[in-house]
Amino acid sequence: MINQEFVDKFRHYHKYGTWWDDLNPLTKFVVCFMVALTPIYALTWWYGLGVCVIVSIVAMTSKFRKNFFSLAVKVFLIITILLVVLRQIGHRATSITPLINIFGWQWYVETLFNSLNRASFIVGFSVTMILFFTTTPMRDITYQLEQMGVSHEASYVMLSSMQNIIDLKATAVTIFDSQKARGIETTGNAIKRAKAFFPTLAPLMIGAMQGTEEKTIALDARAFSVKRNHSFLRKLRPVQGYEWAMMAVAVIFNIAMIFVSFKILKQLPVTRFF
Amino acid sequence: MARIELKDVTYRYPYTKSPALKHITYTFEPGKFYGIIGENGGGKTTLCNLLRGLIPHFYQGSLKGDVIIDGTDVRKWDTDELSAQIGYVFQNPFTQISGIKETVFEEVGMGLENLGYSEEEVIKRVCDVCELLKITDLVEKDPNALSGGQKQRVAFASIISMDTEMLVIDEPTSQLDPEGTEDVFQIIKTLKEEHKTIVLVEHKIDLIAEFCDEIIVLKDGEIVFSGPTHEILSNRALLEANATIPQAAIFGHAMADAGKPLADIPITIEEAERLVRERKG
Repeated sequence: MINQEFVDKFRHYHKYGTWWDDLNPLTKFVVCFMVALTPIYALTWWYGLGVCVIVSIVAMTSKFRKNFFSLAVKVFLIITILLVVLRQIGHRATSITPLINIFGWQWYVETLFNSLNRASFIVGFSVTMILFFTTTPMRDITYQLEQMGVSHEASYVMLSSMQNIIDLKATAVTIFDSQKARGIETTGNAIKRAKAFFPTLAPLMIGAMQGTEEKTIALDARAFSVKRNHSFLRKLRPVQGYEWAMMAVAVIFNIAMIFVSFKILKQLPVTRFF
Repeated sequence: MARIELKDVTYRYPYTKSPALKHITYTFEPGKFYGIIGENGGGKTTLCNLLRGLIPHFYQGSLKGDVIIDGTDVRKWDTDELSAQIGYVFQNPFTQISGIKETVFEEVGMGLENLGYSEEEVIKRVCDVCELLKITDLVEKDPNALSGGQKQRVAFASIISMDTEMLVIDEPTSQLDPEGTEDVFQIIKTLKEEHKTIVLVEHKIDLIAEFCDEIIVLKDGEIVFSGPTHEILSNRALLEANATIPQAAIFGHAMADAGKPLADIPITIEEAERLVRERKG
């Protein structure tokens, strides 16, 4: 017997059970994108950091928070550390206040804040967009895109790309194992592994092409390209009234930040290091 | 629908010298169950591709002769519309999974979504087909994480759910165990009872003997034998041509060779059992 509770889920809009996750992908995208742009205007480290904190609080409410934090923390640390170090190496002219000396390598306070300001817009933008992409499954994005008129084929390409990478990886492992079974050395130093790896590329590519041909036939067998209105077994809730309001607020906030950034933020003492 | 006439059809794949099908003339009547057998490389899958319209729409090559599907030449058919009329299950279960659905339930319903069926109709059909194919325990699973046999059942279910008038099925049991094979044949039998036109390529000759109305034997791209199942599979010429024939028919021929012929050459175990009993009696 089929689990009726599972089947009944398809009779309603798909829900994740948290306020953020259950927002329509369009709402999430507009809100994230509008907020993500603001650190670029502000270009101050404390604003970028503030955006990251707020975005992290929102992410805490999502059931996909693990995905968000595992990626966002890496991006945050890598970009910040990289820019801070590179800036300390290359920026000297206006640096006057010593911060620390590491085995003769002098760091300056002004350079530190300068680099943090630079990092803030990249990190602020990236972390906010990571919130959107890690908390919105690709199938939800493509569903919404199809609702907005994007072709069935385009959304299939987007969705299947991830699976194709997984399939390709599995095929590569199979080819590698079969090489190993035939006595080819696949372990050892980098040169040995490279020697074993390059011959796998041809069968891997040919296999992928053959797979594509069969996949095309399989999709054709499922009436994939029939020129009729497609229906959707799994549906998302359309954009609600309050979501339109959220998007409007995000757009207004974005526009306001352009003015605030150039008229006010740049004048504040805390941003003077820039 | 689903009457297909092949008139002196010869087909050669692109970049190949010899044709994969040669001078094929045959008519597939609606509501009948056809079995296609023959050696590997004999043209069975090519014939399936032709019946499904993939030749010449997908595989370009050189097609001579006429393929008339429901009164219209295959060249004039919209290939997308053909997919709604003729279901096609092919050998490799791994590439038949779409790769974009999260559960088997959605995977089975994908064809129906593409055809624009309402949500309730999709749910009802998918539930029915999953019960029929005994895959109810799989519906919540990720189709990409299934075994070969499970994928084959899901691929089969996906096509069955579309409820097409005709089904072209190319080795649907290649990844299945004997129990799974028997289940699939029982489903095909049910489809036959619903008067679907079925064209089945299968190496399991004993099952072909049990279920098919007509048999086509292909060798090197040509039809070497064709006709009613019993007539073809009991033909000694088939045995002499080293073709695979049912165990029951081999037994019947052996009995005849031993000077103890049965009243007829049986092609199924049940027939053999009956004929032996009659002979004893």
